[in-house]
Amino acid sequence: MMCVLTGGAASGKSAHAERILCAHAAPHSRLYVATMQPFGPAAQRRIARHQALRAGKGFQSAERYTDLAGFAPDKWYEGVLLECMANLLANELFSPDGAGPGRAAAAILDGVDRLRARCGTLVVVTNEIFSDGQAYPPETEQYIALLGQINRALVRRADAAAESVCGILLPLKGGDWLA
Amino acid sequence: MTVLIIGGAAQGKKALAMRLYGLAPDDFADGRTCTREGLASARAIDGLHHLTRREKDLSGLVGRLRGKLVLCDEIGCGVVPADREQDDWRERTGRLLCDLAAQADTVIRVCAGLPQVLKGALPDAAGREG
Repeated sequence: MMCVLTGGAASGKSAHAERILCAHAAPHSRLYVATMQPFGPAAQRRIARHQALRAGKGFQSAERYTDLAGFAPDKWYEGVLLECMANLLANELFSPDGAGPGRAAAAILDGVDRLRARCGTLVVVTNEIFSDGQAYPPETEQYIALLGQINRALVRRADAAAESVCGILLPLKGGDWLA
Repeated sequence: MTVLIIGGAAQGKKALAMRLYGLAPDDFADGRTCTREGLASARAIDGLHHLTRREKDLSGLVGRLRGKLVLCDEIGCGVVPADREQDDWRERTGRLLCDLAAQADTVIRVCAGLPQVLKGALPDAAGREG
């Protein structure tokens, strides 16, 4: 099974992702795959918040900043939570060891497919970054376009998908599975 | 009864709120300018996202908004701002809205003037025509 959760900043999507994963995986069989690089105080604050949210829920954790396809969990997990696409894509585009704009989307989707085959339930968190109406430099516009492309491809693959709005989950697909 | 109405800018949140809940323009505190006392005595607040921009400490605000009709722009669906102030504003506004929505009896998202109910129900059909 695969579930995609999206939402804007601080919309409650992580809490829903954890709740859904915990409903489908026993405590000893939950893996959290983090994609945010701990650079700078803002990233460190976000990481600390997410760690506090997961504390005591029996998650193993792993960091994977690029090349998701090359990542193999240390064992088979009932549930894997991958968070989040916005960071993974930024890393693939802007890190020295990233796949670059031509290959980033394919590399990420290949990684998701492989991870999905290596666990019982995969929950993927992504972001809504598409509605601020701002003009950005070309590299940022490309980032936005690629994330939109990735989100559409993820939701096509997924059994269920939803947007979190003010902490309320709005199903986009497979709503029965999310309840 | 606590009601939260969210939506993008200029989607008709206030007009919808006035129509559905029988409010007048004077019933709204303005998030850009209102004082704590002005908010306390108002039945509704327009532009909560303006209040969260000028107020950094939002502790207790969810409690002070209980029983009111709250209008807030959705501001979290863009690229993460490079500017720390902007980033913090989005984060604290988003967290506040999650807490507010959990407390609210009704949560409505407005798009192009039309309500989408996220929680609870619209008031009875009387005001809904239009």
